[in-house]
Amino acid sequence: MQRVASLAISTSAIFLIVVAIMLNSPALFYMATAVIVLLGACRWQANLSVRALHFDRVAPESVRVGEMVTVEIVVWSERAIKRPLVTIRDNFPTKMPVAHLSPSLPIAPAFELPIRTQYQFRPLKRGKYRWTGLTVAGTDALGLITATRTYETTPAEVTVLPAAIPVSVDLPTSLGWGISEAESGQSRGAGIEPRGIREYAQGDSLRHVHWRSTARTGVLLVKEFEAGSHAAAAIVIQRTKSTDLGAGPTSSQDLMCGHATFLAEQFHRQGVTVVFPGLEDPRRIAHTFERSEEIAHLLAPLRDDQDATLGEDLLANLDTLPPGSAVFPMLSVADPSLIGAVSRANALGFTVVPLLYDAAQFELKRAADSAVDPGYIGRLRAAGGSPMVMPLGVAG
Amino acid sequence: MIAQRAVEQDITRLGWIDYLLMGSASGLAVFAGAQAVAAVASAPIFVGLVLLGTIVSALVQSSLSERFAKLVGGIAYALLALACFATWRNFNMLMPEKVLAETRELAPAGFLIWMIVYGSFASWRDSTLLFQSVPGIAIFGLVGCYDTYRPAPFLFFGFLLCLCTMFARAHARTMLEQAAASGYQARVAQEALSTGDPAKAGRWVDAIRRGPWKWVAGPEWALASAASVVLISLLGAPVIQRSVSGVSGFVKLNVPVRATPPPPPGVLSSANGNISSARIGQGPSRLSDTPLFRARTDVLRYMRSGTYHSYSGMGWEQYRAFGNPSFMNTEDAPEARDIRTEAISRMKDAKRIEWTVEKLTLAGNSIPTPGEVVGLSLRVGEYDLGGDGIVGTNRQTAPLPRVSGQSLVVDGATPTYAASNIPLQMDQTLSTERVSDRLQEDVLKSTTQAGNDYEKAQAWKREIERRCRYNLNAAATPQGEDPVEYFLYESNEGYCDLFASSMVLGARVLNIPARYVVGFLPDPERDADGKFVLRESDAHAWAELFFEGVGWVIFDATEGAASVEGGARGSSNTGHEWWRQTWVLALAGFAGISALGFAFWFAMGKAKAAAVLVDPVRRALDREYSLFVRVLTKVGGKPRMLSSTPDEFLDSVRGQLGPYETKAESINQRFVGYLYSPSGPDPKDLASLKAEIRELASGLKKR
Repeated sequence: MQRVASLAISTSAIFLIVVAIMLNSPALFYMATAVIVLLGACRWQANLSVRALHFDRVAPESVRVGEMVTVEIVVWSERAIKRPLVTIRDNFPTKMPVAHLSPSLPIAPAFELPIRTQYQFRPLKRGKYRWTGLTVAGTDALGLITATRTYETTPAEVTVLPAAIPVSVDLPTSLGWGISEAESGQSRGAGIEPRGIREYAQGDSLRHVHWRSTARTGVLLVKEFEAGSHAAAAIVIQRTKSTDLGAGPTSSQDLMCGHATFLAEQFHRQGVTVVFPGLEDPRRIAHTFERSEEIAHLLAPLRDDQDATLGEDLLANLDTLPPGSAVFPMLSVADPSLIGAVSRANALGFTVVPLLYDAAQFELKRAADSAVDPGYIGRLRAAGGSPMVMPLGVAG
Repeated sequence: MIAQRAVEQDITRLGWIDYLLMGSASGLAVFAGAQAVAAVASAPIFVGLVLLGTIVSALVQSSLSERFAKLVGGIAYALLALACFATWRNFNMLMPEKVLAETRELAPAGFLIWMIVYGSFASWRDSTLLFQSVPGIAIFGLVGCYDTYRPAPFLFFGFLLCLCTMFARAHARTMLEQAAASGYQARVAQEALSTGDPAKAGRWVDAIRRGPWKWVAGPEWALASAASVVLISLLGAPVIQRSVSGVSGFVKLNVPVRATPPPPPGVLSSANGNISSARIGQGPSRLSDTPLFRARTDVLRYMRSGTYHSYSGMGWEQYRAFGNPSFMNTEDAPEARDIRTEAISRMKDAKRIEWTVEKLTLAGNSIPTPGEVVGLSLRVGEYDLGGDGIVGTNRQTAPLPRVSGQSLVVDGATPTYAASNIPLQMDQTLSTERVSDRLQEDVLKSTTQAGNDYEKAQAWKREIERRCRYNLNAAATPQGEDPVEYFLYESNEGYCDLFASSMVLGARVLNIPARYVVGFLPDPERDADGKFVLRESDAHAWAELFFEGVGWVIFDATEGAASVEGGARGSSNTGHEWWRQTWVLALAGFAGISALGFAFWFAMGKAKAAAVLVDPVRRALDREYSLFVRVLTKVGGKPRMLSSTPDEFLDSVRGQLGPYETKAESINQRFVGYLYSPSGPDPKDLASLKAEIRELASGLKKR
C-alpha cells in the first residue's frame, strides 16, 4: 500500500506540474508545488532517519535447524535529533536459507541511549554462518518514501546444528544391542541399572515413562538405563567432493546428518558409545550428557569437500575405532573403494552396516551412481557388509 | 488472548479520526470540483452526501469483523465504483445544476465527484479509505486545469493536510503490525507472565510507545513540515510559474463552463439586468489573468461591454433603455432613435469592420464589441441589444456562444464640435448635476486656450494627465468623499475608473455629451490563432464623447498619465496595500502557524513536565541529579550547559575528578538509565543513589 500511495502521489506531482506548465494555470502551480515540496520533505525525513547510527548485534551462538531464533540489535543515534521509525534488515549470507523471517521491530533511535530492536527467523540448513553488516530502512512519518543505508557491523557467527530426523531402521540382530532390541525393551529390562530421567523423545517406549515425575512437572519424562555393555558405534558420512546431492535444506548430506543425529541419540540412550571417525578422535570420546550437543556441533559444518573417498576415509580410521564397533558408513553415491574397506573392517572384527541413500531421489542425473544400485549392494554383501537402504525423510 | 484483543483494538481498526479526515478531504475535493464547474448550488449537496457516506462507512466498519471488512471491503468499493460509472448521470439529473451530466467536456469531473460520493459509502478498510484520495487528487487536477475557482489552492492545502494525517495514521498502524510480527508482542506477553502481571500483555502497544518508540519524531515535526509545505508553495509557486513563463501556456483549454469570477470594478455589462450601477474609487482589486473572451478584429480596439450615463456621486448608473433588435441590421432606423442609432446616424465616412468574439465563461452575458454594432450572427431571441448598442447573449448553458458581427467605426477623422440636437434619451450625457463649482471652474480655466470642442476636450484630458498618476494600488476613496473630487484634488492618483469619470464630468462641463464606458483593452499581442485574448486583468474604463460627424470618440485619460512605480497597468494586476501582498500574507501565515506550533510544543512540554513533576520519585530523581551536577561543577569549575547530555557533562569535568572518576561515572550511568528509560527508579534505587552521591561529595570535599 505504501508503494502504491507513493507512486500515486509522485505521479500526481508530475501530472500537476506538466499540466500547470502546459496551461500556465496558477492554481495548478500552487498544487504542484505543494505536492512536490511534500514529497521532498518526505524524502528528506527518510534520508535523515537512516544517517549517523551505529549498531551492535546480539545473536545466539548456536541453534538447531527449524528452531525460532531471535536476534537483537542495539541501535544508537550519533546525533541529537528525533527521527521517524526505522527498521533493520540483516545481511544474511545467501547460502543460509531461512523460513518465517519476521520483519524487525520498528524503532526510533535515541541519542546516546541504546534502543533494542529484534527480529526472528527459523534457519533451515545446518552449517556455520558468518555475516557482517546490515541495512537500515527509514520511512518518513507518512510512510511514503523509504530510504535505505548499509552499515558495517562486527561480524556475527551462528552455528546451525542439525535437527534429529527420526528414522525407523531394522538393524541386524547380530549386533546384539540394536535399535530393534531397544524398541522391544530387551536391552532395557530388569536388572539393568537406571541412569536417570530425561524428556520423552520419539521412539521411546511408553513402558519407560516415569509417571510420578511426569505428573509433578507436567512434562512427559522417561527413565533411562545403562545398556550394560561397552558396545560402540562408528558413523562415517560420505564427504567426498560432489557427493552432497540436491539443493537447499534437503540435500543428501543434510538428511544423513539428521539421521546420524537421531541414531546417535538412540544409541546413546542405550549406553552405546557413538564416534565419528574422521571428524574426531574416537579414542578420546567420553560418555557424557553433553555428547549429543558435541555430535551436533561435529555435524553442523560438514561439507562434501574431501578428496578422499568414503572407503579411504574408513580405512584411514579403522585402527582408531573401539574394538568390536559396529560401523555405519552413510552414502548416497556408490563408492567402489568402500568394498575393500568393508572387507578389511570385517577382517578386523568390525561389523559394517552401510546405510545407503538413493542418489536419484536427490538428483535424477546421478541415478547411475546411486548407492542403492542392486549390483553395488550385492558387492557390499559379498564383502561382508550388511547394507541397508534408508527410507527418505524430509530434513528439517 | 488479551494481547490479541489489544492488537484488534489498537492496530487493525480504523478510528473515528480516520473517518473524520476522510470525510473532510473528500468534502473539500467535491466542493472544489462542483464550484469550479459552476455547480454552486450542488456543491453543498455533494459535501452532505460525502459526509453521509462517511458516517455510514464508519458504522458499517465498526459493526463488521476486521477479517470480513478486509475481505469484502475492496469488492464492495469496486462494485460501487462500477455502479457509479453506470448510474452517476441519472443521479446528477436530480441536482440543481445538471451541467456535469449534460456537458460532455465536464463528464470526467462529474464522474470523479460522484465516485467520491459512492466510494465514501464503502470505505471500510485502510486501503479503500486511502484510495478515496485518488479521485480527490484527480478532481483538484481538473479544478486547476479549469482555473475557475480561486480558493482551490487553499482547499487543496486543506485536502493535502487531511490526506497526510491519514497517511501518517495508516503508517503508524502498519508499523504496529510490523512490531507485532517481529515477536515484540510475544516478548511483552512473556515478560508479563513472568512478572505476574497478565494485564500488561494487553498493553503492549503502550509498552512500545514508552520503549522503542519513545524518541520518535513527534507532532512538532509534522507541524513544521506542514508549515514548510504551505509556505514554500505560497512563495515558490509564483516564482516557478514566472521562471517557466517562456515555455508555459502553449496549450489553451477552452473550458465550457466556469464559475462566476468576482466582478472587476466597473466591468459590468449594461445588458446584465442584475447590476445597474458601477462604483468607482473602490481601491485595488485582484484581477486574474483568466481569459474571458477571445476576439478577432482588424486592429487592436477598445472593446465596449457597458455604458453608464448618470453620475451618482459614488459611481455611475446604467442607461437602461433597450433597443429594438429588429433594427439591428438597419443602419438607418430613424424611428428608433436610441443612442446606438443616433450615433450611427451621425457617423460620416464610417467604415464597416468584421469582428468575432468567443465567450469563454458564463460570467455576465454581455459581449464586448468595437464601434457601433450593425450586424450580428445571432438569431433574434438569442441576444439582447441595449439601447446604447451593448450586445448581450441569452444563452446560459454550454456551449457558449461565438458571436460574429459587423460594426461601424470612424478611423482617422478629427472631430471638431460636439453633437448638437441630441435626442431626449441622451439628456443625461450632458448632466453636470453633481459636478462641484470648483471642478467646473477648473475645467473652464484649463480649456480657455482651446478653440473647438475637440481641442477643449483634449486640453482637459491633458490637465487630468498632468495632475494625476495612474496607480493600480491606489487606496479607496474615503467614505463621504466624492471620488472624482478626491482624485483630482487630494490623492492625485487612481485607477482607470477615476480618470474616465473625471474626463466624462469635465466634458459635460464643456457641454460635450459624454458617457462612462467599461470594457476591455487587451494586450496588443495576438494569440496563435491571430485573436486578441481579453483577460480579466484587461478590464478597463474610458470616456466616450459624442461629436458631430464622428459619433462616440474615445478619450482615455490614462494614456498620457504618469504611473506610480509598481502601479502601472500590466505591472501588477493583483496589487494592493503592502500588507495585503501575497508574500506578506504568506509570511504572516507562516509566523502564525509557527507561533501556534510553538505554543502547542510549549504546552506539550509543560504538560509532560507537569506529569513528571507529579511523580514524587521522578521529582526526587531530578533533585538528586541537580545535586550531582552541583558537586561535579564545584570540582570541575565548569557549569553544565543546558544542551549537554549527562555523558558530555561528565566528560567535561572528568580530568578534575582524580580517583573518584570511576565512582562518578558509575553514578552518571545510573542517572542516564533512570532519567531516560521508560521506567524510572524505585525508592530503593533512589536511596542507594543518594548515598553514593553523598559519599562522592564527601570524598571530593576531603580531597
